[in-house]
Amino acid sequence: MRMLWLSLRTGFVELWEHKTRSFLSLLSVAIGAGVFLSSFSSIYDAHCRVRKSLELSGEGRFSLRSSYARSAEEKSVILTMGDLRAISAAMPWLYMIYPIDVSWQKMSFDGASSFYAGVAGITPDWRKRDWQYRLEGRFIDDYDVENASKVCLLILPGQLSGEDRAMRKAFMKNWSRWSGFDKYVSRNTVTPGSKVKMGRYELTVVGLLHEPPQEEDYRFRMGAQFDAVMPITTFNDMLSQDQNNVGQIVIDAGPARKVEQAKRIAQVALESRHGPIKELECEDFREVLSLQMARTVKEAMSTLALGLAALLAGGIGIMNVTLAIVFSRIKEIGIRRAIGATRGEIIMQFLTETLLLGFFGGIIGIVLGYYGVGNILLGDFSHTSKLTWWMPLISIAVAMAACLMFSLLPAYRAARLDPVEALRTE
Amino acid sequence: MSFLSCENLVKHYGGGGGGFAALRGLSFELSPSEMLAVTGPSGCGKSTLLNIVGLLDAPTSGRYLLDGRDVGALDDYRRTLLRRTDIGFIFQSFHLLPNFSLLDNVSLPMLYAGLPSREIKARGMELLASVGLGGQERKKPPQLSGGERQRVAVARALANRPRLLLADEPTGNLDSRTSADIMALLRGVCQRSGAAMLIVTHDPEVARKADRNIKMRDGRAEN
Repeated sequence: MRMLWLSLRTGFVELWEHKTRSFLSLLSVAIGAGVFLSSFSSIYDAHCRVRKSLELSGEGRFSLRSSYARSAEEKSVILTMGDLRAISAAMPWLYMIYPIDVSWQKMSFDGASSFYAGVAGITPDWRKRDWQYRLEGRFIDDYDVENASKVCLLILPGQLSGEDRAMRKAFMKNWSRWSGFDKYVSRNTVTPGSKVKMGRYELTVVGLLHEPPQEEDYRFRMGAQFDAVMPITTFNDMLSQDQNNVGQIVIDAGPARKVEQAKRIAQVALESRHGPIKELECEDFREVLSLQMARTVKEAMSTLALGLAALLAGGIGIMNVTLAIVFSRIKEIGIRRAIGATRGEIIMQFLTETLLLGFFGGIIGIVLGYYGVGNILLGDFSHTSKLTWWMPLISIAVAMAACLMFSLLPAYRAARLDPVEALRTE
Repeated sequence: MSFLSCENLVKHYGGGGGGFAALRGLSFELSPSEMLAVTGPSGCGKSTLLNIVGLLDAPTSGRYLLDGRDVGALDDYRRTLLRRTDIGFIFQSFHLLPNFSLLDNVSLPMLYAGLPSREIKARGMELLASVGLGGQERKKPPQLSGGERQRVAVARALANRPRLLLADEPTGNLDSRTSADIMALLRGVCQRSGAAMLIVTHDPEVARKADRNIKMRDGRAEN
């Protein structure tokens, strides 16, 4: 303990006496630790987002699609509401089942300006998954579906965060890229009760779905995106389609282990209505998730590699500086050995000094990691990393570990110095 | 009874037929409270002898007994442990740590020896007072004169109450008056502590003040 205290005191004295060298060493450690922390925070954030996305989306989700014959030998399978009811009856334990069809329709609020917008026909079960909206007004109910009510809900971008505002400002410069719907809702206030002309119908807006800010949006975006939703029956009416037709049936079987069973039962239910189906058009959410996870892991590994590279660069710098320190203090090492310091105590002294560098460098690195080294260089302090309470501790621990690792060789060389030769050094 | 005994010490540097012998069979003894001066021209082996006696180096052959114990063949770790408790060094260039206070410099050997903190501080201040530097514990070596720095070095050498003091040209960097003061200090230390002292020197005045002299030439004692 006394030796540790002696080493710490020596370390502090040396850091203070050689301020320029200490500052530069601290900076190299801090940058490495900051980049590592930033990378780690990004990876953790991505991991949390994927987990939250999974919670929102459900792991047991898959969708069945209508399929159209491509040759005389093939048979079209056009999914209908009757198919949905049959599947639902065969599996009453399903968490969710809803039909969905999407189309682009001409939309107009005031008759003066019109634009194309994505429109989806759904049923009330749609809100059981990926629900991150703030609902203003009311949602579609079974009455609306049964009676093909001429109602709809509009999906609006939610409240913007500071970061989003900055991004939107940049995006606003490219106004032409905005959809007509986005432009309209950004300039006009739309409220429940408003009327909107869509296709050949005038619909009443019964509700508004406000999307969350981008950084809080954890939804997995599967399939086509749309700006408005309405009852599936109203949708089919508007498109002059058979009211029963649906483009897809989305099913949530609950836990992932039930998906294969659900798929088999669904196929049996469909075959009882359509005859033998050679290959059911099915999109399994688990495959989408795997792809997303693989992409996330790849990005995470790249980011982590960058962080480790920064730390490695910092560590090599530390090794270089520590070697220089050892050679500049050869005489001191000789004195200490002469008056009774063992080789182990010499090693401990130099390791303690670099651990101090790692500790303080890690602390400075927390600040750099929080604001982002790149952002600081660009003078942009608006974007910050999301740090939990234990991440700074990891950053300090990693910085200290890197310093320790890269100072082992110099410390060993210091300890192996011949005290006689060391004392002779001028 | 001699405290230190060297028998036929040989130190050979380099190998493969190309080295040289710094010591060629040196023998002598040293008793407690005795001051022995080793003189000789440059390259005669004085510093090599000091390093071996001080356990900074090991002889190639020969026996080195310290208090009856053969210490010549000890490994580096055991030599270090023995050095920190039984041997004190005083160097020509003082070899103080410039960034530490006088008290810290004097306390260093005691820290390595594992003494309790309270005892270290008390003894450190006592030692500085005994060499005439009481009240200046917080000063740092660059703030002192040559003579004062050598006094601090003497105090440091006495920290662990060694039984053997080794001085390598202790007055080499000092003027004649200061040299006389330092020699008087060393003589007093020798007598009061009972430590044996071996002084390597070029200075005939210093040699004259010792109890005995060994004149070395080419790794051997001439007398």
